[in-house]
Amino acid sequence: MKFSYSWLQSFFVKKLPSPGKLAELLTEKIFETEVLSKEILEVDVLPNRAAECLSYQGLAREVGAILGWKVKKLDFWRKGKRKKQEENWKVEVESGKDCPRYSLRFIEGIKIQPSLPWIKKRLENSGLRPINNVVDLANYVMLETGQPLHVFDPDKLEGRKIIVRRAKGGERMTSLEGKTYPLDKEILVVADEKQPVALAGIKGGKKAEITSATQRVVVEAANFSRASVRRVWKKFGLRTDASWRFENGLDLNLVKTAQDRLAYLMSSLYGAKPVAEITDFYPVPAVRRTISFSPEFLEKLVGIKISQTQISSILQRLGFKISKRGTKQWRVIVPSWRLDVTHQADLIEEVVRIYGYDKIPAQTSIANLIPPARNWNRYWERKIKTLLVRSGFNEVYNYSFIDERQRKLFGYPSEKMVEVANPVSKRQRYLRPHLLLNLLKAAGENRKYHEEIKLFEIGEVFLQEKDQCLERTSLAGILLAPDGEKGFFQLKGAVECLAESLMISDLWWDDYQATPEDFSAQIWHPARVAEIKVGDQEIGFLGEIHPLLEEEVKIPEAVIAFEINFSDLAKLASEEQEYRPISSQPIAKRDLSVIVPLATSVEKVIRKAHQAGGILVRDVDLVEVYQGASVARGKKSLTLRIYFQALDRTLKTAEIERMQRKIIISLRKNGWMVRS
Amino acid sequence: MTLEELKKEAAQAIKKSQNLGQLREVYQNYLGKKGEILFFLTDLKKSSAVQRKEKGRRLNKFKHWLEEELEGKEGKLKKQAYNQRIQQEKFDVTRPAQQPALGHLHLLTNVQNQMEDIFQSLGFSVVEGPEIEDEYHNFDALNIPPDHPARDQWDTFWLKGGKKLLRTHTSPVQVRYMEKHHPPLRIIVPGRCFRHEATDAAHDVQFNQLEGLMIGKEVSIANFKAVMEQFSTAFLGPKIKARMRPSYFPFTEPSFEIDFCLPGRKWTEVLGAGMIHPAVLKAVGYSPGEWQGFAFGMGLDRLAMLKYRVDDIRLFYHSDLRFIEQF
Repeated sequence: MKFSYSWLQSFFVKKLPSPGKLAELLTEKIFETEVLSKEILEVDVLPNRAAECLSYQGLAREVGAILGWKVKKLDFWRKGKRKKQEENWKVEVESGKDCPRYSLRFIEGIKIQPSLPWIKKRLENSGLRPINNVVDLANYVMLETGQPLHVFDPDKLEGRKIIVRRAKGGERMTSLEGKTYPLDKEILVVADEKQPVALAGIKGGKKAEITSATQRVVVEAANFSRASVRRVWKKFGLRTDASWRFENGLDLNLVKTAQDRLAYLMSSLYGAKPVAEITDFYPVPAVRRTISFSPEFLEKLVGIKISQTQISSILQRLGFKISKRGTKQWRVIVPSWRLDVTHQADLIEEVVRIYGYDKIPAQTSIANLIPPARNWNRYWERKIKTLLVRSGFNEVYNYSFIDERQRKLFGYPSEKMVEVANPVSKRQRYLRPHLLLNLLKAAGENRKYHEEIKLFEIGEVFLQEKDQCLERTSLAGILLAPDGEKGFFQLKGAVECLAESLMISDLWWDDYQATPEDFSAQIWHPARVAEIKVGDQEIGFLGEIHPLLEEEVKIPEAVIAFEINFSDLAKLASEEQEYRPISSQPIAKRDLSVIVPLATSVEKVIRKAHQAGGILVRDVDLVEVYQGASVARGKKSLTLRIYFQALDRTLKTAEIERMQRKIIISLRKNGWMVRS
Repeated sequence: MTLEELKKEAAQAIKKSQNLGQLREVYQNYLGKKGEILFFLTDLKKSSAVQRKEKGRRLNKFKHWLEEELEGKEGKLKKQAYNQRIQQEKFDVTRPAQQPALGHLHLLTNVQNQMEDIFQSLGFSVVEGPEIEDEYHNFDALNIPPDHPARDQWDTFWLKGGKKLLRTHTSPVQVRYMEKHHPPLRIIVPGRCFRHEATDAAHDVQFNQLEGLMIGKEVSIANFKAVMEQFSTAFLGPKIKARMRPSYFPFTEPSFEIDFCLPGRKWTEVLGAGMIHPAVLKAVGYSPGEWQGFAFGMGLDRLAMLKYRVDDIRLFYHSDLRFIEQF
């Protein structure tokens, strides 16, 4: 809220510190404050203190407490000779829950005119636009006390009753600006006997507007519940100076304060004639709150000793009273305007902020020497990131959102998507189901400036499974290559390298098998995708992206990508490694040529050979793949190199030959031709 | 030829030698199997015993002299050849290098690692939690009841079909952790959070937060200040200035904020904190009189921006290699 420096000054006898100095003090002790000009301070009133500090009186009280100064008292209307309300007006409140207090006062002898110049100035400096003397003074008192006031012209109302009630379906209200609001039973209104004349606590209606012809007014000061005001805000997105104050809750006593202050000012500034008494619906008066407080606990929580004299001085400066002061326990009476103070901790905050956070020395805690538990997920995440960076990949952070176009492009069914109910823009329609959607976009944009594109990301991905939102951590990488096949093996190499660095020894590659649960998402090139497996477990995929996608995203290079379930990878990496004895025995090498159909995977042949050879086969490598004249059509010749080694002895030639024969027989069982 | 003449001649030949090959020839010519020395050896054999002694002594002396000369010359020639080679092998060391193709970690990863290392050295464990949250953990358990105006401080992305939301801060992870662990405890929680707001250079719909929590029997504001001092000097250097001012969060009481100021720059708000609210302790089953502690939350993005002078938060999420490759 904007505060006028000179208005604030009017609450004190002594000269206030300069605006800059005052702003510093306020920032240090209560609210962040900025100096907008010599005359205007922008004070960022915190929501828990809005009940009182969205007012000059409230802020002056704080300034007084900080500086240790007395705050000047305002002048109020004292009962004059005039009796009760002349006409028999009634107030009817449907629910004390929606409106715990409602008061009216008639003021007669009104002459509508522009406000006095100093009133106008003060309003303008506080960010309000002057209108006429009556409306301005109501706003002035709102700024002064924090209590919103509303002024009607009673002669425009129908009947002699003001009713605070929920609106009925189908009712409407036209505001002062001429905007019409359709109402329902969620909305609290102030109505005459016929129709709503104001949205309670928010906005007045056109019907009872003050005009130059107005000769008397009725002033409403009320306390509307936070909930009722918030409902209107949620429904119409409507927030006004009045609703802002009601929303945070107000001291019930302010109703009378504001009425009497306005009556005083109307009478003394403009010679108007307020009636003596207000009509006041106030069934359950505010209760005085007391809190028990222990100076010892304050010391324990803050970490320093503040003397009891200092504590009580600070509390009293802020309006608290200490009703009982034992050595261990105090009883503290909370002033009616401090709706936010309900716990001992709240009192401690009051003391410590005025005492000064800067005066608390840093003190290393005496804690048990418990070393932090290692977070293995984070450990592997860091390691994996470092390894990928070493392989030339750049790490990116993409948005967690995708739009409708991306969903369609990748063929994700909408029922599989976690959808945002209130996106800020259409870019945030869904949560990303897969990292590749945004990675592909990033690759496409970066290729404008870079020749080599290798990106990776680790992040959360989301899928909707009936009423469940599934969330998992995924690792994905992407690479652009002029040649799809070369790119494939380059990326495959990077993934193998990663697995090796993580000491995952049994990583292998399998043909892609579409399972019935797979939905129609179209990510991979059907003929150029592999499943990444460790043991029997499938942990991800690597392949070229679908040709239709490649065309759609207009990237001329081939796009190769992988996606791995991060948690699976981290778990596999965490498995314990055991030392494998180093053999000093010689290694024997034997080569074999196997002729297999083109469609048979190399992986399969190597695994068969390895299994058939038994424990003494140390390794099987692929030396060459040959297709051509000497090999039948539709077939390829694979040259395998088999390494035999024992731990404890030199293998005899006969032994090696026996194993090799076993391998050959086993391979032939698959219908493959074998030459040694 | 006398031995004297031979010596002169040999000295001349050594002097003339320009490389190791020629020098080897000199050796062969004089001391080799068929060298000049052969004549003197034969002569020696023919001489009488008396003469032989004297001649032998002179011959030996000559031999030693020649060997030394040859060795000396050899050293010189080798050095010469070596110098020549060095001259030939010289290249311009200032020419551009060929770098191995390394990638780059994202700046936020880098900053997060630094921060985790600092807090781990202070005994804080790193804990993580889900990005999709329920209302209870994101709000209610943190003393933010439904329809409370405080909820407006966290503009929330809601998910369709149910009451789930994208976490607006990492604080729900604290609640989840406290539900399962007994105090005393010291944790930090890094993670991605979401805010439903329009984007500009200082705000984005997603950002990263690092949350901290320390609970014990006597953990105080003074202790919090010590932790913050350790952190800020370790992360931003000894010249960092910090100020602490009052603030409001429903889940802490007292609440405060910390601003940092680097030499010659403006104060920047980086951190909200406070002593954990008794209602939060109660919600997870801790006894408020017995246990107490502080919680804090800071914007990782903000700190990265402060330290590396990044002026637009959106750069972190736009995957632009021209940005990423700078770090």
